Amino acid sequence: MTKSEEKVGVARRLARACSITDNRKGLFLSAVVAWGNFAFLYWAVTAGSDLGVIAGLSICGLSCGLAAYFG
Amino acid sequence: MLPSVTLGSWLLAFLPIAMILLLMMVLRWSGGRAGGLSWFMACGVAAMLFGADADLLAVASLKGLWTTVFILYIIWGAMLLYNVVTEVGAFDIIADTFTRLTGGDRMLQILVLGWAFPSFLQGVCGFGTCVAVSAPLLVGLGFPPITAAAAALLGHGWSVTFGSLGSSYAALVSMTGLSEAGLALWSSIFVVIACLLTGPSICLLYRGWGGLKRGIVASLFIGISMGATTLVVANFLSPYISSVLSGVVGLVVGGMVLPRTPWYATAEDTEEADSQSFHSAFTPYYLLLALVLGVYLTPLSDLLGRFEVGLSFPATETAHGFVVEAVETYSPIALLTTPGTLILGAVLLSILYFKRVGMWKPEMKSKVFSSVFRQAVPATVTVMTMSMMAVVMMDSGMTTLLAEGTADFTRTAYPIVAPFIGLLGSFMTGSNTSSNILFGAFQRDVAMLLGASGWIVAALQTAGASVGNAVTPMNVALSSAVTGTAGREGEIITKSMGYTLVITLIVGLCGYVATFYLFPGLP
Repeated sequence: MTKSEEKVGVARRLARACSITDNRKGLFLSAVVAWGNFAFLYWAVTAGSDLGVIAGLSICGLSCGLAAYFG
Repeated sequence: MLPSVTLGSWLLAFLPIAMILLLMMVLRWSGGRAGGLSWFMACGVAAMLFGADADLLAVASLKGLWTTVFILYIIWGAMLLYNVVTEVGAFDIIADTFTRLTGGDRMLQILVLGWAFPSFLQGVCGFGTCVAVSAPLLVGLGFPPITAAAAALLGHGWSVTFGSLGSSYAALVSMTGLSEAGLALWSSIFVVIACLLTGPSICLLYRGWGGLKRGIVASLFIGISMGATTLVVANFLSPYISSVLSGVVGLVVGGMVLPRTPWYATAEDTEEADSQSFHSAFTPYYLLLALVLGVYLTPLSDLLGRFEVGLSFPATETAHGFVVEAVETYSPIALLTTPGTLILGAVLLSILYFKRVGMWKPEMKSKVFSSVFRQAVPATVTVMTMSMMAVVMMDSGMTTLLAEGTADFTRTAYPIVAPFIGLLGSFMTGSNTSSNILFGAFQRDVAMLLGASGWIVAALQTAGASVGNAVTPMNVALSSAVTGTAGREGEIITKSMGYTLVITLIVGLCGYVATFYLFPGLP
């Protein structure tokens, strides 16, 4: 395998690893987004930040959207 | 407090639940997909009709997510246990031994492992552990995964009220403030009726009318022995241990007595099983039982139970004035005694044991973890989305409106509907205890208004909530994860829903007869 072929192989593997064509990966991403957002939204709620609550709720929606799409 | 109770508002409040049922049962969507969309639906109805603001939706969604930590810990722990046992080859040995012990009788196997065994486990531990442990055993014996999941769900339902050492029953007592003697009596009567109906339901679920014919004697023997034990123990000893003891009696009758009766005895010698390799293979479950009994039935429970983690949440209020008080520690998790920790402890000890006897090889680790990840991720998302939706419905007043509307519409037929309200509470929260906390006082008040017995109606509440555990999306997600049928939650819920509704209806009818014909003046 030449160097350029090797690079293409690595790129393909990377792309495959990052792409979310697999439903299970999509669901995992949904869970990661939801839990990642948990601390932020909790901070927003307890600190009384209206903007933070709207942003956190939107990310929550994104997580549920991902679940609905990939589920 | 709430929008006025009309058919329209009731139907709108019911919309997220109807959507879940439609998507999962009719369109066969996975739990995660249905749950994700239902969260949007619940938020929409809560905001537009119930006056929920962004703060309320955020707090409710956070509460919902936090609640799942407890159940996800069990799911991931149970998946780990299951995959370790499978990877070392212990499952084949267990399956072979159970086949021999029951003389190869499939009906006895499904009744013992899908009904008596989960009832026993529910008695000591509960919180879904019984389904997580018994359903894979049935799959290991060769039962279709969907049937195994549905049987374990149905089989454990009746025992939930007095299970987990009576936590749901204790919640009912504290929320209603009614005397324990009457509550224990009526609760035990209704859960025993559910118990007697569970065996035949599992036979029907497995093989239709032919299955019922084959399994009716075993169903009667096991059902009557577990039911009688429940009645005696709950009323004369302690309701808090009645599920444990009735589960033990059911196991003895189903696993040791019935195979020796003319109905189920076979030509096979049931004593020939290699007991040494069986005990070795079954070690993870022995360890789990030892940990559960050692922690829950000893003073260790109080000592270790002090290490609790919980989050505080601010109060919320809808535009209609429906208030949810602030909580200091919401849904606290006792880190050292929570079932997830005990399962994890059993897994670690099992790996040490299997290493010692040469069954565990280092290369198995990566296989086990990749299997756990593959199986548990879909269930994780289902549980998360469903739980967020449920708490949005509860904190915006939708669940309360559903219950009040149902009481308004049904009037004197209320005892028939009372267990369905308990079931609704279980469906929303995934827990008999939470359902009793949510609706216990409400059911007592409605009973007083309608001139019905508070004892009977409160007992119907907990019986319905108990049976309803068979169809809660969270338990269904758990059972689908452990039977390798993630994404097919709709099939499981379809299979168990009919039986659950029929059992709940019969319990309700019995309550109606008791309320208005047998004991009309009962307080």
